[in-house]
Formats: sequence, C-alpha cells, structure tokens
Amino acid sequence: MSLVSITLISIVFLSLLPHTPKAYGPLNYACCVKYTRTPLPFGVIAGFIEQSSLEVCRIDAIIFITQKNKKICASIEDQWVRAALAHLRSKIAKLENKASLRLTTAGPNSVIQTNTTNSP
Amino acid sequence: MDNETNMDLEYSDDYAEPCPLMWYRDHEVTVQTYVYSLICALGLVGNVLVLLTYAFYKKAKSMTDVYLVNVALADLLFVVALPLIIHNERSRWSMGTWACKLLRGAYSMNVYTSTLLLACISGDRYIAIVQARRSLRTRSQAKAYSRIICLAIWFLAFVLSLPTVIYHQEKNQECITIFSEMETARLVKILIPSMQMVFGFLVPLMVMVFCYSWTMVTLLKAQNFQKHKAVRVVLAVFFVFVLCHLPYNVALLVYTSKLFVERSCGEEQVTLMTLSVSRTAAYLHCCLNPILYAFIGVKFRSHFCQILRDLRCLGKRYIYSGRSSQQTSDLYVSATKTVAEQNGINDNPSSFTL
Repeated sequence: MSLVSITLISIVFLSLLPHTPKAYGPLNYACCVKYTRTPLPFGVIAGFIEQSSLEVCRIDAIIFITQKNKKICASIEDQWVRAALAHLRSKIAKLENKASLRLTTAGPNSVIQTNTTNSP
Repeated sequence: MDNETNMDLEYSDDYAEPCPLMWYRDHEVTVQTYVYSLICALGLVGNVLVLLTYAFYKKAKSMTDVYLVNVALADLLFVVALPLIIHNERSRWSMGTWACKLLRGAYSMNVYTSTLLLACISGDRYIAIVQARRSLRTRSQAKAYSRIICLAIWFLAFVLSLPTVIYHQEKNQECITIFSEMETARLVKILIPSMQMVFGFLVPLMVMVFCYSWTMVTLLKAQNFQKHKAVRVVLAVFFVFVLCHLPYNVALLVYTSKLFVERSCGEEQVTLMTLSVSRTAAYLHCCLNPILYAFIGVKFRSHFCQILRDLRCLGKRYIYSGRSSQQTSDLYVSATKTVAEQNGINDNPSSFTL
C-alpha cells in the first residue's frame, strides 16, 4: 500500500477523532526541520501526516500526531518510523473491518478529502 | 482487542516538533510597512522624474544615459509591483496564481536588470576615464552598442526569471513554489537562488570592483584639487551597492547551502528572519539609484530644476542652496576634463560620465 493511500486512510482515521488539532493559518507555515531519533511508543501515536519537500518545506518527513495532539517529526528512513507506520496500518485495517460489518459501506469514503502538506 | 495504553508520555527535547517558520511576522510587519511605503514613495518619485527628464528635456547622448533610462524602467517596474506584493503577503494571497507568478517575476527581473546595468555603467566610466584615448573612436558608435547591450540584459533577466515564474503558484492563499517531481524540486530550489547570487550580485560586483578600481587609480593620478571628492563619489556608489545587496546574498548563500539538511528550529527561524530583513535592505536600492546616479549630474539637475519650474514649484532654492553637493557633482565633469586634457583630448563629456 503506497504512502499516499496510507495518508488518505490516515486522514479518515484522524477525522474520526473527537478533537481535531489546532490548525495553523496559511500565513503560518510550520515545517519539520529536523528528525526525532528517539522512538515514540506506539501507544501514544494517533495518526500521521506526510510532509513533502515539493512545496514550502525543505525536507521530507513523517509527522506523527499523538493522542495529546502533539506533532512529532520523524524520518521515513528510520526503522522505528516504518514499524510505527506498519502498526498504524494494522489499526486502520481493523477499523476497516469494523466499518465493513455495518451495512453503511459508504460511510468511510464520504469523509475522504484532498491531501495537503500543510500541518492541520 | 488492542492493548495500547494511554501512557502519560513526557516529551523531552529528543522529540522534534514542526517549526513555525513565520514566528517573527507580527513583530516585523509594522516596521516593514513603513519601510516599504518609503521605498515605494521615493522609488516612484525618483524613477518617474528620471524618465520624465529624459523624455522631455534631454536626449540620451551617451552609453551611461541609455543605461540609466533602463535602470529607471526596471526600478519603476518593481516599485509599481511592490505594493501588490506587500498587500498579498500581509493578508492572504487573494490575487491568484498568475499574479503570484508575475509579481515574483517582477522582483526577479528587477534584481538582474538593475544590477547588471549598474555594472555596465561602471564599465562605461572605466572606458571614459581609464581608456580615454583609445575610446575616442568607438564613442561615436557607443550609443548603438549600449542599446544592444540593454536588450541583451533584459533578455538575460527574462530567461533567468523563467524558473521563478514557472514554479510559483498560489495554494491555500499562499504564493509558493510547487513541484511535481522530487528531482526537479531539488534542482530548481538550488538553481533559483544560485543564479540570483551569481548573475544578480557576484558578476556585477566583480565588474564594478575591476572598473571602479581602475577609475579611482586614474583619478588619483590626476593633478586636480577636487580628485578626492570624485573618488568619494565613486566609493559611495560602490559601497551603497555592497551594503544593500551583500547581506541578502550572504543570507541566501547560507540558506541554500543547508537546503536539504537538518537544523534546529531556532537556527531555521533566525535564517528566515535574516533573509526577510536583508531582502528589505536590497529593496532599498530601487529608490537610491536615482539619487546615486542620475541626480549627481550637473546638467541632469538643471533639467530637473526646469521640470520644477515648469510645474511652478519653489524647489529651485533648495536645489541650488547645497554648495557642497554642487561641488561634488561638478567633480564628474571637471575630473573628466582633467583626464582628457592630460591625454590631449578635447572630448566633450556627458554630464553623467566621469
């Protein structure tokens, strides 16, 4: 599954959270400028966003969002980051299984929105 | 069931968070508004007056005259675009993608055109002063050459500005560079500032250093009691150029050299703030050019005074009351005559040529 798909599903997952993170305005870009080397415990990770150097930010990064709405910058090249993403993927898969058990299969699709590299 | 626990994690400095890039904006925007307003007002008045003088009162007679007209045009182009740039940056960018492209392109064009033409002016002064004997023949053809050179510079500025125009877009009401390929992004993000540093600063700087150095050497050899003042004018022109453009280009070099590596949030913020402040200093050069180059000339100021009289203005007293500035501006003509006499030439100098 590509990172784009993971990102999209991650946005679905994030939109189900009770509290959305406080949004930066468009005049206030916030970018990762360095990476976290200390692995985050999986239990505190609620979701992630992909930062791309194709736009304003200088470097590529994965931004993990914690249950306390903190954003943590990480590099996809680190092993613990890939493991955390795999962990999120399994959580998303379980969520999809639960959703498919209901008869309203269109529910998750209706909240898919376009990807943005701005911090939400 | 997933047995994840809601552990109370204490975040330490080991965890890197996104860095707010525009944290200084609120502090800076007030100062910037006043400075930009000053730049717009002085730049507009100065450059319009230069163009008016050439259009109605004085035909361009020398290479320097042709260069000065083009510098005024380039600065005027940017000064007209600057209020729109400021407005869109202070609030959300509301004018869409094409305004984004054109306004960023206007700044880029101004940097290249203005600085390269100033280098040509120093070259013209070098030819007039240092190569006075040899340049006698070619001066009759000089005006045609200068027009070709100006066209070449405008074309070069346009080509060098193309990447800026192509890759700037409006997105989420911000005017930013957007790429579709990673290799393209890396290449262009390095190429745009590198070209600006090389052709917008280093090449003009080297030309100026060479030409003005020889000009000053020649002036110092001249047996003229006013030679030191002429040297001071040359030095003023050169150092204002350096003071306006060097800080921004150094900041740009630092930023570009660390474009794809990690650095601390504080370092990132200081770098971006330095870029923003030094860019403002670079903008200043647009309204200083008319003062440094055009209004120093004696004949030019007499035409300028004629404009004021035609406008029924009482600025005449102010113009002629400054005796020291009168002496300073006389130096250009007398210095040229002195050098010409020593070389046995009775060349009639332009009021803008040393």
